[in-house]
Amino acid sequence: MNNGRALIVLFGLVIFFAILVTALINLQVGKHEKYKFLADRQQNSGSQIIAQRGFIKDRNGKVLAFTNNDISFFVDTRMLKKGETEKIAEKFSEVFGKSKTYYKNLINSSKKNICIEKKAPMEKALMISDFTIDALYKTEDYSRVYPYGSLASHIVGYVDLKTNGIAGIEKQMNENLTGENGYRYIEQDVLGRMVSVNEELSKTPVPGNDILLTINKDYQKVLEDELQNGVKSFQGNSGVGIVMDPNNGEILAMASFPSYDPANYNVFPDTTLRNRVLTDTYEPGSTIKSIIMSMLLEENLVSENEIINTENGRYKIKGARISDSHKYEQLTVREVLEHSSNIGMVKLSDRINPNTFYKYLRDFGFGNTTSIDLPGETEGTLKKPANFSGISKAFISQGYEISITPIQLLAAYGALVNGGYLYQPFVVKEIKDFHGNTIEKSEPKKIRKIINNETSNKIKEFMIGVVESGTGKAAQLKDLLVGGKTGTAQKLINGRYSSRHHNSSFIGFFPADNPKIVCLILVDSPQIGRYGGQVAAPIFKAVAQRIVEADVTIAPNKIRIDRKEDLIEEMFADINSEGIAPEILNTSNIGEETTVNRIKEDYSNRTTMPDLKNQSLRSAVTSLTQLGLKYKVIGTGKVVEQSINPGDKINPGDVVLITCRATEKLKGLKIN
Amino acid sequence: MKINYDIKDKFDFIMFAAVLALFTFGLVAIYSATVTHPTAYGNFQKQLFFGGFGLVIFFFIYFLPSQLIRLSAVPMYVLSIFFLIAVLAVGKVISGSKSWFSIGPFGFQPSEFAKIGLILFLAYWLSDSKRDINSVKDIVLSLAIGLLPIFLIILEPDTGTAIVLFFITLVMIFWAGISLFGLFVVLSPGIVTFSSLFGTASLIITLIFVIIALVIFKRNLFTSATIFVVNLAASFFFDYGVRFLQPHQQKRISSFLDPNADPLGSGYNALQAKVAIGSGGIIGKGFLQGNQTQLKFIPEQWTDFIYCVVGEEFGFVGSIFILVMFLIIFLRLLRLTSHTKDTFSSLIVIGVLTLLLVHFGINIGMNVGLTPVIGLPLPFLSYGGSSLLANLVLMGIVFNIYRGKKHYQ
Repeated sequence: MNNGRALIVLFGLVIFFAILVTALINLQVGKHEKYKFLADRQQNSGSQIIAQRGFIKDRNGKVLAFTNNDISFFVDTRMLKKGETEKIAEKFSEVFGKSKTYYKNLINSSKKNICIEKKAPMEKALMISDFTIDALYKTEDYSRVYPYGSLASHIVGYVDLKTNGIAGIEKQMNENLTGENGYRYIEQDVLGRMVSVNEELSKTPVPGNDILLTINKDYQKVLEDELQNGVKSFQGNSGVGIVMDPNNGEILAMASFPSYDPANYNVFPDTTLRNRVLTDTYEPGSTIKSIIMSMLLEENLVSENEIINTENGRYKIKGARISDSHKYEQLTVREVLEHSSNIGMVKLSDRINPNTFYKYLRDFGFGNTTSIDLPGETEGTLKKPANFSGISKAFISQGYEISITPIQLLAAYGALVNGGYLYQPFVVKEIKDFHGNTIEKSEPKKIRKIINNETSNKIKEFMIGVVESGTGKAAQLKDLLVGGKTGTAQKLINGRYSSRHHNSSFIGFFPADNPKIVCLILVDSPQIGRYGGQVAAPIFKAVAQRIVEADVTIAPNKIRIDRKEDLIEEMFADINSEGIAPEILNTSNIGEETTVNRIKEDYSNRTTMPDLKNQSLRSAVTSLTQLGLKYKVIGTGKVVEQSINPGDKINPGDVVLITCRATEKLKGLKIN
Repeated sequence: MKINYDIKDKFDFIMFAAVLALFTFGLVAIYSATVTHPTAYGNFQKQLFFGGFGLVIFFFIYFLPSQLIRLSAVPMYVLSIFFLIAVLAVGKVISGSKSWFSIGPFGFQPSEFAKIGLILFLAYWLSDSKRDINSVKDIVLSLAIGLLPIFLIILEPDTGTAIVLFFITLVMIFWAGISLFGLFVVLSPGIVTFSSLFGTASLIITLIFVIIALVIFKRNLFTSATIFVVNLAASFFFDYGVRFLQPHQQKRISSFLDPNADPLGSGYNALQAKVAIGSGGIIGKGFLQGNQTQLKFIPEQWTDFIYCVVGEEFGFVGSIFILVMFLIIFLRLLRLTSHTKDTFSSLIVIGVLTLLLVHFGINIGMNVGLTPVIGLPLPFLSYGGSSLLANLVLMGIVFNIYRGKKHYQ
């Protein structure tokens, strides 16, 4: 009856099925990939597991930085069921000791997620591990901990909130420290709850490597303490200190003052964050003179006892005035360094040609970064000979017209005292993986040999002289011979050399006979005192003293050094403790006879005339003063004749005539 | 006329096999969707029980004398209207709708029962020889028979079932032999209203088509004008109608019109269903391997979204299998309509066919993203005792009709 209408229905049916089949083909064949991707994306959630960041340790394994795997707890208030707020508050107040109301108010204050306990330590977090409420969840929260606070902060550096290294070793070794993050791919249901872990796609994190530094935490502490004390007591703007092993370039301590706390670096001004040792260039002043002297010695252009006319403190070269703060008529070459005579150095440096001069400075590492394994190093400026003016050499010899970084100078001094090898300074001693296996071990890197051993020994002697009888007396240790050089440089402020702002520095080494440590102290703009010998040398002394006391391996054989200043005290001391004869220093392997004689001979209580022959003029005059004798001097150089013969009885007030002559050796030299 | 005593002529094995296949496939899918579910894990057993119970009823009805069905038509309709009123008074509210009676541990949905009542009574009424389906009075009356339960069901509210009953009413009137003009009068207000959903432009265009149709039909001016005004009024009053809809239903309509507007709101289910089916690919992820299903991305998947379980775990192959089974049932039903012994039976069969087809069309349509998300179960597959029982009762009636069909070669 209804065939026509049945056909219409059939027709509709066929069209309808065709549409459905098309839709299915479109979904399941055509757009399959798209929907598969959508399905995977919502069903699987990959969460990153941050690898534990490696430790930073000092050379003895003391931990300077580590990571705490803390747990933060959150409540999603939208998922809270009745009564759960109460339960959570009760549990948390039980574990963390805060009041129940505190947690309740916290939870009630939020409409979505709220952190109710931030960075809870793992052991506390474990106490909550069996407490499950859907609305409560936790995330691992890492925090970087620096157990010694600001100690070594400029070396260790700091990390940002995502524990990426931003400065120091944290930055330099970031890749090593970071490790490999793991991933956990989980299948999650519609509420985001984990159903299973996809082992195939998941990866366990590999903890970061540990970095062992060359730094000795104890030295670092000493250096930072003394630098801080020093800068504060001399009212300096800032200070820098570095301690290095000259025999391999290992940095043992490195400090910049003012310092900062790496855990809260963001509250400290930028100026404190800088590692001044590497970033700040300065004109070194007289500390450069040892370097200049070594090249003159190496090139055989000077001789130790050669007499230099120091013009009584005033001199003009090519229109430039050179003056000495302590005026001398004349000085031997050695004394030029000991007393840091500008005029002496200017005259001596005139003997070397600009290219050789430049080559040595370049070889000592000036004008180039030292390539120390810390970020932020600058290279300073060293003029090329082509750009030298007529007085460039003269000024560079006094430590002007050249700008250097503290680390460059220290590396150069390392070469001066270790027999002539320039080492690349470094702070990373070893890289170990999580299990303690060594991955990489730093080997000392000799860059080049600059001077030979004899020159090195000679310049060491000179620098011992600086401390024993020159500008660096304040650096003398009671029972250990040290060498060094002072430096005082006027600071260039607004294009003029300021007479009130100085960079006062001292760079020294010890033990003098076999240097195991070189140490640079630099104080910027001290308000009390000015000269390196006044400001930096006492800081150096304090550092050296404490290091030697703390670490017996540095100077195992301590020897009492008798110095004239000590003698009066000694005399009184001897009355109380008779028979205790101080061991007399034997420095034959480093010092020349004369130097040692001067130190060890006891003049003040003798009544007979000593033998002054072959002593330097200055040394002889010192002795005569001590003896209370009046004297007259003829000529310069070494004493060749004395009016009172050795061994004759003398009385205070007697007059002695001494005749001096320049040494034979010097005759071949041109004297300008 | 030669009487063939072959058992095949008494029982449609092909259709029965298709129904069984769908039911079995449904059981498999329900098992997969609920096996790990914390609250719905018993649904497989319940469905199995209802299936068994339903088959007993199916065979009971199959063996009933044919006259009983005709006799039951009026009481069934009256009873279903009574139930629909009663449920509004004392029914249980489940997910926003007052559509359930609780009888001990089981629930009973009068709207399912109303489907049977409407089909039987409309078939009874339309097949009465006194009726002239092209008279305005009888058109209005037959529409009223359908609109009474529809109105009550909208009050619950249960839009899905109301739509099903509306289509049943329309198709049965169509099947009863309404003229083209009559059909136009019945249908045009609906079409105009629907087009108004897409904006003023489409409304105006549709109204122009209505005017053109009226000109073609060449009826008197009064009739034409009345029809046009009714059309216009329908679209204007639809706005008020929409306000009567529940907010979630309003949202469903707007999310159907622009599915990308609110992907995480009412479009969520539709999107997740598409993701499930689409990610299944050609051969599917395998039984119990569908992550979308197992991870419960689709809420209440064992009811209206059971087709995505099939689509995800058995892929294109499984999806097409379901379509083919339904196609077999529809074609067998359509074939049966022209072999029934009387118009009453034919109208029942076409009513059942319409019911299954609308359920099937809207359900599959919303699963693959062609129609809005309207809560209608997929016959024989979706979990749900009332729906399964109602469908098996209707199949029992259809098979009873098949048993008594004309046998001529």
